[in-house]
Amino acid sequence: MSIFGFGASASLNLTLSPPPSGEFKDIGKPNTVSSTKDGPPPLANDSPEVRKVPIYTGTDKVEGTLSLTLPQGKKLDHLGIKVELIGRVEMFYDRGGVHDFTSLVKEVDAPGTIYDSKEYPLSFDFEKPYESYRGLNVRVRYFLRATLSRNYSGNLTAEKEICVQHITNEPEINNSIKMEVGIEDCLHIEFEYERQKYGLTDVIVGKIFFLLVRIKIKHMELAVIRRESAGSGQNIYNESETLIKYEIMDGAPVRGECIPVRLFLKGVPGELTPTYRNVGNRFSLKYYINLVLVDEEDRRYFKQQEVTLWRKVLG
Amino acid sequence: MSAQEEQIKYLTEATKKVKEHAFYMKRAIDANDLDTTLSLAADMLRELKTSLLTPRNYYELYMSVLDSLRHVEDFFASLNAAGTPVVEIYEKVQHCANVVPRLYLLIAVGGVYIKSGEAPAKDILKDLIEMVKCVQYPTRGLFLRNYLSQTSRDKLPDTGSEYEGVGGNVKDAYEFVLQNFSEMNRLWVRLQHMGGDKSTRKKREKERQDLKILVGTNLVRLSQLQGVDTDCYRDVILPEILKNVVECKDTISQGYLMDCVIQVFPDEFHLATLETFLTTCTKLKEKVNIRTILQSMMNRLSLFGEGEGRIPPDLDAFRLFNDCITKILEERSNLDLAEILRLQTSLMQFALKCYPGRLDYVNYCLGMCASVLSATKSESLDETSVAEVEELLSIPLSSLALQVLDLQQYSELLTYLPYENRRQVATILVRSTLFSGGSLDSVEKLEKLFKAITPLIKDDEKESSGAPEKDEADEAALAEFKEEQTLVARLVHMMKSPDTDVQFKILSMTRKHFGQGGVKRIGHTLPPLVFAGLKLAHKVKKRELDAVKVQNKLKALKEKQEKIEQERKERQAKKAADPEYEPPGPLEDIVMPDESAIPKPPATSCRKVFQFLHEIVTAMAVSYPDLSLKLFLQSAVAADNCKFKAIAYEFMSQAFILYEDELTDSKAQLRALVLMVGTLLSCSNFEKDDYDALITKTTQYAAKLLKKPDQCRMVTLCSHLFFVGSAEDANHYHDPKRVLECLQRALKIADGCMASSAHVHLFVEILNHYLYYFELHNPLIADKYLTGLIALINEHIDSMDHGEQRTEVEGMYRNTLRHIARKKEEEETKEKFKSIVV
Repeated sequence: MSIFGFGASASLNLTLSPPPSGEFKDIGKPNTVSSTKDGPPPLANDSPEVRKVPIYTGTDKVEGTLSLTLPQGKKLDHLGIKVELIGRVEMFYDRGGVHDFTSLVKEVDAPGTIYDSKEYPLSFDFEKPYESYRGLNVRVRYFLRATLSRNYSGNLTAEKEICVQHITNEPEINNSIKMEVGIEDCLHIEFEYERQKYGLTDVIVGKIFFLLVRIKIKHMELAVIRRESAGSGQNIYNESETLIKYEIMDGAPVRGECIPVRLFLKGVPGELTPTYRNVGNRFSLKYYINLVLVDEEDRRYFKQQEVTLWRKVLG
Repeated sequence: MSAQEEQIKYLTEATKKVKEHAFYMKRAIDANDLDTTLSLAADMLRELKTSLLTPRNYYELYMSVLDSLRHVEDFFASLNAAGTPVVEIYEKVQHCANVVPRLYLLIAVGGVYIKSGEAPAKDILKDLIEMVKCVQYPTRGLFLRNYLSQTSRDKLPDTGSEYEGVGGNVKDAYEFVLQNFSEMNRLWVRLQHMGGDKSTRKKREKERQDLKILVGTNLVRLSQLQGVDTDCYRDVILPEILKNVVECKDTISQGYLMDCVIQVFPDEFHLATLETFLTTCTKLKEKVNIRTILQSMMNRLSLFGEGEGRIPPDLDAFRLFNDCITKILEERSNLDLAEILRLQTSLMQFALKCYPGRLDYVNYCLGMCASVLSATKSESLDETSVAEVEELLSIPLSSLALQVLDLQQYSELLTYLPYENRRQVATILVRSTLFSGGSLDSVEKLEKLFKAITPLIKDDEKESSGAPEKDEADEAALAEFKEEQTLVARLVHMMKSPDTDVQFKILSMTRKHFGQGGVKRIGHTLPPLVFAGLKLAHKVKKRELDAVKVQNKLKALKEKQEKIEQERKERQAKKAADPEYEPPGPLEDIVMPDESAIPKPPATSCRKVFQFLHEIVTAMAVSYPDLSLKLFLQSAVAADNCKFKAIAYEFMSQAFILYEDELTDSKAQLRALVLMVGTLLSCSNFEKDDYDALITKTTQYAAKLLKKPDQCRMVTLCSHLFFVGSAEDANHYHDPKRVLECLQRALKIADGCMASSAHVHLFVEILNHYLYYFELHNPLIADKYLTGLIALINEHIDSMDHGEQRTEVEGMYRNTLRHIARKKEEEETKEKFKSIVV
């Protein structure tokens, strides 16, 4: 607009009131110190800068202000100002695709002329069905977009990202995982994890009981694996990430030995999210713990178990 | 590269890396950066994951890591002091993905955690002991657990500790240590089975020996717990330890741990649990050396028994040990003879120390050995077994000495030893008998003793060893033989019976035994017997005299009694005749002494003793003429003292015969003569004729000596035989004429010695004798002889060569003259000496 020498032009600005939770999330920040090597690759199509984004739960009202700033003495003709709230699944594989699962539009001003800077209060009260998610192939985003439409010169827009997280209640049924596995006449173990479902900051506690050991075990580890499956039907894209290999035993136990397991999920690099099942028929995200025994010839014996993660607190 | 060089290389590299990480880690600590510190500490600790190092080198590495880990501990403590809850750090360190570094860090924080009091010590300890299970690799596990043990050492909720109470109690403390002990033992045992063939077994065993202290430390910790009392030890601690020991079924572990238990826990605990301990001993693996275990336990208890403590009387320790040994012998058929003997030896040693009065115990042990030996059937024992039996028999000697002879089994066992070893034992027996200082006061006792020390008393019947041949070059053997015989000889001085009859029997019996010893032995053994006999003779004499005195007294009493009896009868008669008769006074009542209180005359007469002595000396006479001569003379003096004139004469004549027949060496003759003269002078009871004969003979011998100076001196000396006692004495013997003859003869002989100018010396000596007789008023020794002799000396003394000899003579002469001068001045002798011209 200033190309034509009109000087300072009008601008739109979206400001969000602090969310009811009062929580913010740093997006784009490297996860933890130790994750630099093993962490997930940076997201495609993502801004590299670190920013603070307010966190909302599924039912929180999103409130804020849209301010229109006009230079002194100018007037602005417009065809109307609207603010949209969009919930969107973005896919990066197979030519990708963008699917808005939520789109709310609010007319904040009818077409006309504005002579002075102006502020419009905003309030969106709507269902946010999915959590924000930044995966390898999939991203779930929520954002507000304000648009001022004009005839000749282009529209004025402003965007603001928000983060949605769902707090779940403690699952009522939460059985332990208990299983006896083995290779005949070689190795028999019984493992037990206290629960099947874990909060994101919980500790996986369990024990491995060795019933028969005929192989020379070098060590044993517990891996946390995240599997993202996007698409449906024949076009499913699975992407697995090992978030951590947590060594839980050094050396070879003898028969009758019982090795404790204790893994702090908090210490797992790569941000953990709750388990997502079939988000908008587009993707799922599951977590597994994989018990791996490695023998002296580096052969690996493993057993994978799904665990369900859920969110206790925002963050 | 050799294995050793490789080890050094690995160690150097690892240590270098540790230092590097530690350096950056310390920087992070200075920057107060917990996350970085943890990550660098984990890097450093990861070096401990190596499996390449031998335990020794791993220890080196471990120590250098621990050095730096202390900074981390301090850092945690400082964070806590600044307000960070320890539990946060405790959780944070567990994010570390590697198990070894994670657990080291966890223990490091754990220590700080307990100290902070944020959580009860027992809970933290329980968590730590559970988590360290994650390291199952033996060496790494052992060191990790050692770190845990070290860190927790001063943080256990022991009784009286600051962590007691909320932090738990002693039960938590010992359960923690016990569990760590149990797991460490298992890891340690497992190291043995880490694969590899037989060739690596030795290496493994060596490595395990290097690591044992890590396991044993736990037992030390247990023993340091204040809250563990005897009951707790008996009911919980020991059973748990022993359960581990038995169940691990590992030779090295069992041997080491049993020993550890003995060493680290106090005596009181052992006494309370002896039975349990010993029962466990019987359950150990066959290759475990149970003997050493039992031995150290017995040593421990006997030290206790010797010290302030006492083994409680209700604890029959001997029986318990014995039961244990019996069981082991039953169950282990492969024990060799020496080992069985060793076991019994230590049991006996224990009995001797802890049950000093219980000879039956000692006898029992000896009996066990005897029965084992008799069961072996083999003709001769192997060397070790012989050594063991010798040891077995020698041990009780030091404390029991002669009492061993009361043990029936002792002499039986002796028979299993070859002559040489029996001799050794006998030597020790004699030595300790001498040392014990008791007295050998009965024939039976001596019989036993002599039987036991037969090898010292006589030669072996089969072999001719024993007394070494004279011409044998083996001086050491000869010296040993001499020493042994001297010891045997010393036994004689211990033969002391208050009853002279018994004493005589003892000596006779001893003589019989010593007599079998052969020529070489009797020279050592018989002389003391002679002296013992002489002593006895005096005693017997005294007893005889006493008996006579008592008899006389009795006789007198009896006579008196008869008199009184007669008086009484008379009085009664008078009374019967005249009822008015009043006796002049009461009659004395004579009480005769009790028959049994009257000392009896000895059954063995003094004469018999002398006869016995005569026999002994005669037996030696041919082989040891010199010695026998002296003994005869000695006996003669004794006999003379006892007023046995004939016997004394007999002894003297025997001595003379020896002189004539056997003494050919002139020096020996001279010595013998001096003794003979001395003996004759000290005897005072000879018949005159006998005495005449003896002294005449002696003088003749003197005159027949080979060397002139000897002749001269001896003749001079013999002169005294003719002038014995002073005129007032009843049995004096004065023959002035002979005295003069002797002296003149001596002078004549001296005169013949001119060549060597020894005559002046002799003259001076003779002058002295003249003077002596002159002073004693020998009527024939006149002043003129003295004057003449002095003139003679004056004449010759100047012609003597200057030298030591002359100085000596001059000195002596000067003194003599000075004496004469003094006599001339003294009032009493003035007159007599006046006429001597100097």
